[in-house]
Amino acid sequence: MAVIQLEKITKSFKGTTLFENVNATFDAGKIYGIVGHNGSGKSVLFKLICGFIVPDSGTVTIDPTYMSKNRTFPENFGVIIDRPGYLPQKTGLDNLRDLARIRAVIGDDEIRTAMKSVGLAPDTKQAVRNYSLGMKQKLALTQAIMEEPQVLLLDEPFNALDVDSVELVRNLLASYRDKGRTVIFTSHNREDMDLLADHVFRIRANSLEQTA
Amino acid sequence: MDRPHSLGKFTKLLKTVRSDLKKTFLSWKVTLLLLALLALPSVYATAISDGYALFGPADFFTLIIPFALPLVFPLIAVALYALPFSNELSHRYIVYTRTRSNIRRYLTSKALANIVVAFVAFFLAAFIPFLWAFVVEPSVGVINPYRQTMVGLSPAELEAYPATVNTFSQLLSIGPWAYGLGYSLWLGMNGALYASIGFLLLLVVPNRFVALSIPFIGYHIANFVFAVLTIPQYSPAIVFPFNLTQFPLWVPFVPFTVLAVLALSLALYVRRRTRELDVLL
Amino acid sequence: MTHRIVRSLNFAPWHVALLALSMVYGLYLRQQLQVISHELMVPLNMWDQILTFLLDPYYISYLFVPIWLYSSCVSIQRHFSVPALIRLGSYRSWLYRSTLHALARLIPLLLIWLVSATVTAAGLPLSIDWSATSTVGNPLNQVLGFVSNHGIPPLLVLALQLMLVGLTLLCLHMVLALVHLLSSKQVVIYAAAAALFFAQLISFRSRIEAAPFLDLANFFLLHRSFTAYDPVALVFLPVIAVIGLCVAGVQYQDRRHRSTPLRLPGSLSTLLYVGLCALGLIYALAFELRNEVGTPTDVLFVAFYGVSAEGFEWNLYLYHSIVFLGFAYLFLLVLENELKARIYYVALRHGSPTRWFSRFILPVAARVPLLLGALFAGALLIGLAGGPSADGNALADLRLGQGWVLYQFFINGTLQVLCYILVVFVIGWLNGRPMAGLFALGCLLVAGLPAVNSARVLPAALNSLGYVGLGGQELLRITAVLSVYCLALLLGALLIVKSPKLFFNERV
Ligand SMILES: Nc1ncnc2c1ncn2[C@@H]1O[C@H](COP(=O)(O)OP(=O)(O)O)[C@@H](O)[C@H]1O
Ligand SMILES: [Mg+2]
Repeated sequence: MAVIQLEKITKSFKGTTLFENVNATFDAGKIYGIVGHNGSGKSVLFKLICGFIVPDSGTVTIDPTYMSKNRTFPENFGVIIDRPGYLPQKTGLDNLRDLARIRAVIGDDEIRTAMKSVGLAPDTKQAVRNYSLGMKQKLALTQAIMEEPQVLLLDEPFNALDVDSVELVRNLLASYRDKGRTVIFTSHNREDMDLLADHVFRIRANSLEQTA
Repeated sequence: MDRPHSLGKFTKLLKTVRSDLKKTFLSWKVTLLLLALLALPSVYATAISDGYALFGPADFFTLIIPFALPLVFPLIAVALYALPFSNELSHRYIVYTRTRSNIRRYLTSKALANIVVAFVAFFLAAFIPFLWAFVVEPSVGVINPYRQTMVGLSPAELEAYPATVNTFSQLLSIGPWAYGLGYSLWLGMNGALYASIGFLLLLVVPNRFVALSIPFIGYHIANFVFAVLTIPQYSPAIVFPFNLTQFPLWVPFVPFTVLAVLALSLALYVRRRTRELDVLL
Repeated sequence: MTHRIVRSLNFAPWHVALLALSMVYGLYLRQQLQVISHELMVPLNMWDQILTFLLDPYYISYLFVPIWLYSSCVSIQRHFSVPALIRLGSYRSWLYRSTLHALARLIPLLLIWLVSATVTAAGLPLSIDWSATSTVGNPLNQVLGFVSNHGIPPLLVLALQLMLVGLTLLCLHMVLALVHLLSSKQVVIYAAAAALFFAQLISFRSRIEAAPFLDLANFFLLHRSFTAYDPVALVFLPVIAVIGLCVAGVQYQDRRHRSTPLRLPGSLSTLLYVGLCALGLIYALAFELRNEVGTPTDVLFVAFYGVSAEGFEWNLYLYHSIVFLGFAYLFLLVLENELKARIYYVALRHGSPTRWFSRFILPVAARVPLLLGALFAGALLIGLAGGPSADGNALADLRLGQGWVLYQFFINGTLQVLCYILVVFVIGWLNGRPMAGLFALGCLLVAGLPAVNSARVLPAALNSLGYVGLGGQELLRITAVLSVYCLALLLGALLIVKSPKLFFNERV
């Protein structure tokens, strides 16, 4: 079955309607791109999928493999929502350790490997407070991929990245698809969409249209 | 923190302070509400005054000053202005003002506004009770009669007694207005001092919450430590000297001076390093 | 993790066998009691049977302890593996986890013990007090005759005995775990277990009076503790000390294996907090008591006097607030980390907000009794430094209420601090800014004043030992008030956590 299925989703905030009767299906092993204007509801869509927001009406169905009983949020999902979240006083590695300890499926080695794969040096003593915007973005990417999730939801993953890192991340996402995993990402960049996405959705007039 | 070099610059600064205050505080509704809030303790104390054997307006005055105020005084001082200001910092609004005005002047005007707000608030917190106890109440005469005798005191001694009760009541021997104005000024100055320390810490300490809580937490820790050392008169709580016996007037200025020096060094640090401060980047 | 381990608290088939065996032994004890009561010609009640069983040296040393030691060895070896260590990140967390497993093993055992003692007491008259048999001092009836002479009701003896045995067994488990960590050889841990077994056997047979803390039986049998320690609560100190040593041992091991950098901001505030706590205890001894200590709880009583119905003394209230509200402030510093966008990434990994909440709040809640225990131990230790009271004892009438002092300190203390924590959580989370939590603490500081809280219905400073003077009835009422608040706040917290709108408040 589909990994994620949206049925008749309606969501509005204090009068402004973002989605009306939205239907969409995301299948395994594909890369989906989502485009839309600023404030069109891309981040809200991701939050809906993760269960961080409940829709006014309609249902979000997640493949039961990722949604065992008494879970509210899906399992084995790697996500970036809106903006990176971190403990500013700690180093990047310590931040990731704290997160990894929750599920306790990976150890230090995996964290280091993941950091290197997006171009972060694991052993810098710098606190995240002093990271540049791009470094914070890479930290967010690392936490999303480090536990080798089956589904990736990446909200503007290419933000603030330099050219080399963009290339790195593109390759990473492509390799995910080759392993049969699912990736959904948003971006403002046409090139990202053209290069990576198997399917593209556009948010327009409160609905989600598949354009490619 | 920008020393004004010319009158023009100074008036410009004052203008920004005033407009800033106007924006946040000086609406009529807020002012009325604040005044009502400040007058509330007086009304309350009058209502409960029957239960106390008061020996004069000075005694009544100490009853009005809310007994809980010493416990939360630094918290209120910080909440008046530094707290809203911290939101400005956290939403990075200040980063955008940077490009539009001189950051030092901007900070100076904010710091001044902070001082003005805290000073006025705490000055009134003492001055309104003073007016109530020494001017309004005697003319209305809600509380009467005050105690006329005191065991072991002759009438003449009783006359001089109020001036010997607490630190600052020495001023009563000059006159009630010296006392009222003196203590109100003292409280206002302390309010401004604590508010400034909170404000400056906000610029220096990376964690805004920690910065704003330091005055409150530090105040209580210092109070406790000085109590343990058995010299409570040098503790920060001497701002409210009413539960201690009288000390010479210079005593409360010892902790005040220490804190003022601390605030000044913080200010100097901020001024020196304005361009490198994390929070402003 | 806590969650899963405690849920794994299940009954195995051999538990049934143990239960049957215990029952039989219980019936045997009952028969003997019947004989004694017949001989002395005084009636029995249920406590005779229950407490005789719970204080029976043979049952403990030949059945209970060996079962425990063996199952500990097995469990330690099963849970010790390199991947597990990697996942947990440190030896210390491994030790904690292993101890949690031990707790899950311990509870069924204690239940079996208690159930067989109670069931075999069926038919005896119900009572809350000692029976005539137990209060008769007679060679036939040494144990109960002795225990009932300490002015402690039987229910409390039962609770103390279970607590003592439970804590001692957990402590032994930790010792074995540490031995295993240090040696990691199968032989060594079994040898250690055997040594412990024989040590306790010998200790049951003959006392080591010179060094009561080496006498293992003192930590299994309450009547032995009564002779060795006065007041009896002191018996917990060596056990806690050994647990502390075990923790220190694994910390050392962690240090040796990986140099984890000290996290200064966190430890700085904790260090300051601990320092202030100690300072207050010393102050209580030196200035409030003038170095004269009548009873061991004097220092505790004075240090945590807080407020009383009559009024408050600034220093004492300050210390009380610094300790208890200060703890809530430390919690607020931790909570602040969760009030940011990071919560998305944390909550997603936990799977559901409630699970996040339980894993977030439970460790903090578990630290509350630890904090109180540490303060209690600290007060006792510092009390040792003081000389005997000169004018008889200034606090003599308090001695009667010592039980209530401990009740107020531990029970109401725990509830009160839990209330503080939950208030901070609810207010902080609803508002979304940690400063709101600080204002809540400010309000609580004011609300604790006796002038404000004269009816004692606001959940602030109700754990003040100054309230002990009001009598047991009032303390129980305070417990009720605090429990209601705790429950209401917990309910509120759960509602917040369960509602996505409130849980991701403002961060959505
Ligand atoms: N919690 C909220 N309360 C009110 N409005 C919200 C909330 N979250 C998002 N919105 C509104 O929804 C719209 C879409 O937001 P978002 O999904 O972040 O846009 P984008 O497509 O740029 O990621 C915005 O107009 C935003 O103001
Ligand atoms: Mg967005």
